[in-house]
Amino acid sequence: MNEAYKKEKKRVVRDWFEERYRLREMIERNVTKKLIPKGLSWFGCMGGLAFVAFMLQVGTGIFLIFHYIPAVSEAFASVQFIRHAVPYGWLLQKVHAVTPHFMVSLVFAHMLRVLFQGIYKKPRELHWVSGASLLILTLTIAYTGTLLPASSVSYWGVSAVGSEVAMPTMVTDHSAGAYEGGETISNQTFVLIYALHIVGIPIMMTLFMGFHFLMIRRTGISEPL
Amino acid sequence: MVDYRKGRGKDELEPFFPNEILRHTLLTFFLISAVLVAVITFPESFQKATGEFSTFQTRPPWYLLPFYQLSFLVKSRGCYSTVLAVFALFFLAIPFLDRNPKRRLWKKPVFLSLVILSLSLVIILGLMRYLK
Repeated sequence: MNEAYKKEKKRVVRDWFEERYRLREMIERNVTKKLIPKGLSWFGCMGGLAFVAFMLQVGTGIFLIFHYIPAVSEAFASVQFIRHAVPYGWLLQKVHAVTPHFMVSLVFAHMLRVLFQGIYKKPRELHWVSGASLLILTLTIAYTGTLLPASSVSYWGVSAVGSEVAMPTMVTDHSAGAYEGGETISNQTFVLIYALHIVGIPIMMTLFMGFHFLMIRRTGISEPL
Repeated sequence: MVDYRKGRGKDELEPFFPNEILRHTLLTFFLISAVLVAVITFPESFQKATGEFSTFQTRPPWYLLPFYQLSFLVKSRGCYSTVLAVFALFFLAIPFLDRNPKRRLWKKPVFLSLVILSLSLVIILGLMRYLK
């Protein structure tokens, strides 16, 4: 009796959702009953894996936002705090620092495959444009990320080596100027880089990714050569 | 959404679930495992910024090395930005520049040469910075 009541309750809830959102139909159409061309390469998964790496960065990045202080004098100490005082902070911070290597490699591999197999040909020209934009944005977000911990690598990112040559930066010209002559980077510049890293570039990447995935659904995945 | 069944027989198709989902799940598992291995094995490179850096730990990430090397070769900031912008524009415009109907890159010798030249340039720039 109790078991039958539970089953009935579940059915009522399922029907309630089904009536409104037709989830079963959507899942069948997009997952369980969907058919795709045979012989797709494992290398075709590189783009999807790059997306997984991006999500890994978003997840760990959200955690870091709660503890990181975007100020020149406190950034390094706040990262040290995350690494040594926050439970599992060392793990999340290191995952966030290491994953860009994988993400950039995967995006490169994906683009080389598309380039060598000519997948960007009609009608997929805009897939390439959005994908290439995503590569540029990935490099830019990785660059802004190296500046934020205010560590020795950050210094490399915006300064001249041995004070011999002025180092133009890729994103923020004035940040290089702030480091020249042994001066520290200004707080305003630091906050600007931080804002670009956590809001500006991720929003642009999300828009490009949405467009990229939408276009792939419209035109379909490319035929194996 | 594209219906892959159009114009294809049953033997030319496979189910998205579980085949494709399994491929992606397995590779995601390998990616996360590789990230965790890297977290444990990568050398500790987190040092406070001071004026003296010459050890390997202070080298920028490998994917930024070509840009750093280029910035040393092209000292003017305006020229550097222009070179990057022109390179990025060509990169973005590849589908519109390559009008050859053939798909495979190795069947298009001129375009293949340009791609190899560009890739070599990026690798050489990165190596120059790395070996410095």
